[in-house]
Amino acid sequence: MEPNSRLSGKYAIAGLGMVIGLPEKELEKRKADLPGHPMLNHAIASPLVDLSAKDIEAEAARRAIEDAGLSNKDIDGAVHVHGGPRSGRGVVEHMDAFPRMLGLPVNFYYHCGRGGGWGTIGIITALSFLELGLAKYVAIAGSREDWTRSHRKEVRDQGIRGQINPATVAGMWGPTYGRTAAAHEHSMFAARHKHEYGTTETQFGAGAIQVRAWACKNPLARMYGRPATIEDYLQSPIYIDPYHLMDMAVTTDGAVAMVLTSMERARDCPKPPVAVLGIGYGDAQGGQWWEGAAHYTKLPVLKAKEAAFGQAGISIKDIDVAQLYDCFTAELIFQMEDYGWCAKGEGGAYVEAGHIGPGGDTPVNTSGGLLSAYHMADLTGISESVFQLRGEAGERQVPDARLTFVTGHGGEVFAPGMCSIHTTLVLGRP
Amino acid sequence: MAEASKEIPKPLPQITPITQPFWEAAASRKLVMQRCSDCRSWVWCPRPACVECGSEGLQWAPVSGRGTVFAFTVIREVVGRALRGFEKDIPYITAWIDLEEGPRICSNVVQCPVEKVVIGMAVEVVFEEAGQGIFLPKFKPIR
Repeated sequence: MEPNSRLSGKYAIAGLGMVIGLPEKELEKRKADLPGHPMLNHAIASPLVDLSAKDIEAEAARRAIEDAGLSNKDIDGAVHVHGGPRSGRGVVEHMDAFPRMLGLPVNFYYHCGRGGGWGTIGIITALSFLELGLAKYVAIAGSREDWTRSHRKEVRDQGIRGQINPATVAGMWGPTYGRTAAAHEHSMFAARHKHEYGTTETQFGAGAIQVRAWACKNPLARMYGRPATIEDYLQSPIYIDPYHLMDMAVTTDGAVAMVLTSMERARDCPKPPVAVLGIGYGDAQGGQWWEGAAHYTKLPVLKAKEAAFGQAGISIKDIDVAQLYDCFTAELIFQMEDYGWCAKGEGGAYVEAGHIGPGGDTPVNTSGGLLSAYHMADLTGISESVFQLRGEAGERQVPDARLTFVTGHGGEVFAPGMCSIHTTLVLGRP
Repeated sequence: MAEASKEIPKPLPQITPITQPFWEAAASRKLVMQRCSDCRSWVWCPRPACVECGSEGLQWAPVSGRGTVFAFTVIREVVGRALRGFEKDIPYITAWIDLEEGPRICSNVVQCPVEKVVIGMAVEVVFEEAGQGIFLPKFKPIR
């Protein structure tokens, strides 16, 4: 298939920078065990002490600019990405953020993002400015400090862990009924998939175990050095039916930044360019709203996938490695089905057969994903894609990885229980 | 998790002009929903226009309060960002209920041991006082 978009491959990620938090003692131990390991250059001690989200964003952006072989004065556009007003921090506190801290001479700077698709939404924004000729090099940065926030006494004592008070959010009906965490909604997607397709606890666990096995090959992953078996999973307590702790993503302090520019300019940068080949966006209201049971265990993938894959001129069979939004284990199963690796209802069996872990024929979430590495929304998958496509992924490198895609997922859960958005970002070696 | 601290209240719903009829009805132990006078769709949660056809011709209408459990979870541990106001209720059941008229509503299943709840279980509405004159529609098994 030929790309159906003239923009496919016209722009590229030329630089990547990141800082990811690891518990201080754990970080010291890893540095001692693995002296000079390149992944540990991206690590900082967590919880954050004397560092704000702005500080780590600026540091990530500085590193991305350096990685692209550029200097601060080259960056003429900047985008701050975040998960939207429910992500725990208002936009206001970011009003004086990384472009000001680094003195970037930008023509524009603003915030965007939603749900778990902020990285992709940031790239859409950057590409518009590049295409309009308003910038040559755009820096994108976003951060989270969820680990730090959940460990701050004043936040805990309010009874609200890093989240705005949901009682004040019009339309947010769930919290009144004790549905206060993403896990409370997502666990019901899993329960329903079990009910409709006979998906088993072992099948959810199989996803967690395989992604964990990847994390054990990535010293930057939160769960590095902590392999787990299906027996470990099944013997662990259930937290939120049907979910065990291992079904749920880790919380993270960190920041990820990148520099976007034209492919022409990216070829002059020191690192191999990562081509943006296709981008798609799906909203559950466009085609899934109120269709009841048939769509409850399906994500708004279809439009996102068709757009992104069509622009890139690819099909699912062409994909060498994928970075899927694994906020919970059921989302892995849904995406196996929704992207067409297997039929609807067969995702549990597909994952259980071992396709996605190390040695499988469909390598997924090679960093350890949101489940076992770090949760920077889709920036987790974007950063891992850059490592894979550049051949920098070390022990977890998929041989000759040329084509990958990253998904984002989330947004508000709206009646009748749908998860709102889905993003698909196809990246490749030019 | 178990450290002693002052009582943390549960969040009450924010009552807005659009949601007010719902809460007023609930306070008199009645369940009402918006229905589109053009396409006849039921609409929940309350909003200014029909989510199906965009019509602003929404009218409040009573529903039976009977339905079935579409999906549920049992919350057994506080995880991540959970509000601590619910800790003393653990384990509790949160669910989507499909009402017999068609619309789906989020609520709790109450008066039901957590090991007894199943998808498809028949339930009916009960109203629980939540404070400040607000009554929350919840659902109990039909025996």
